[in-house]
Amino acid sequence: MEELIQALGIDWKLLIAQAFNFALVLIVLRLFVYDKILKVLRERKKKIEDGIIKSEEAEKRLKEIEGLKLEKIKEAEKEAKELFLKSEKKARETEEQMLLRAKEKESEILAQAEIISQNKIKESETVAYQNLKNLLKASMLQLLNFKPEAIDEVLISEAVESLKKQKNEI
Amino acid sequence: MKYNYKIYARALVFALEEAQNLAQKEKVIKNFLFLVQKNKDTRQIKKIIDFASRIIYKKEGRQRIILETARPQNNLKNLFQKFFNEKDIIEEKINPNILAGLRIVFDDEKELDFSFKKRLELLN
Repeated sequence: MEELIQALGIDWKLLIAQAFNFALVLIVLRLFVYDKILKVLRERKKKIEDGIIKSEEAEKRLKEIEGLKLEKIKEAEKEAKELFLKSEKKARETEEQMLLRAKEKESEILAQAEIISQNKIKESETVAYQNLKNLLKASMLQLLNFKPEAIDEVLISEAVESLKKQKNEI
Repeated sequence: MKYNYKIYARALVFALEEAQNLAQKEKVIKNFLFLVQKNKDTRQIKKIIDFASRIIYKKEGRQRIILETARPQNNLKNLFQKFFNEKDIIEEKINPNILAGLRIVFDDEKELDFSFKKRLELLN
């Protein structure tokens, strides 16, 4: 054993001195540096953890925002669709109303045309009837000039017949 | 015009009814004519007499019937006499305005028109 130690060149005294120095350095480091380094490490760790948490939160928020965005887009699409449908419905209603009004107007115009046509027919009938009456009057007056006694006889006979009828009714 | 012809006529009828005999009636008529003249209403005399006649006929249950024709007709009165009462007064009148035919007027109130003029009017 001793041979081996000698072969390795180990000097016990030197080894102990070095152990002592090491222990001394260790104590000094423990007393003055270790806590500070540990504190720095802890703070660093905390910062990293906080960063990770914040990053996670940010990621979460981002996802939420993405979700909201999608939701908003969907809502906007829905609103746009509703608006489109509403506009389409309104346009259809307006079209129907316009068609209805056009039909009413058409009926009105047709009715007016019918009235005008009827009036014209009536007017022409009236004119024809008036002409006929004038013709009849002229004929009657000619007959009166030609044979007034005959007309007297006819009308007086008519009067007699009428009075007879009245007397019989009584 | 002091009074309406109807008032004169009613007064005349009343006075004639009050008269006892023909002489009094003549006197009533004379006085009445004098009164009308005095009131300067002689222009109404025909109307007064017509209305008074109507009142008297009505009281007696008689009608005054006028047969109007455009020209003279033979036997017209006899032809129509049978349709009315014997007491009714039937008069004939020429009215060229009716052109032809006959118009029968009862007491100036109602009429039966069988005139040619009426036929022409009906054509209007």
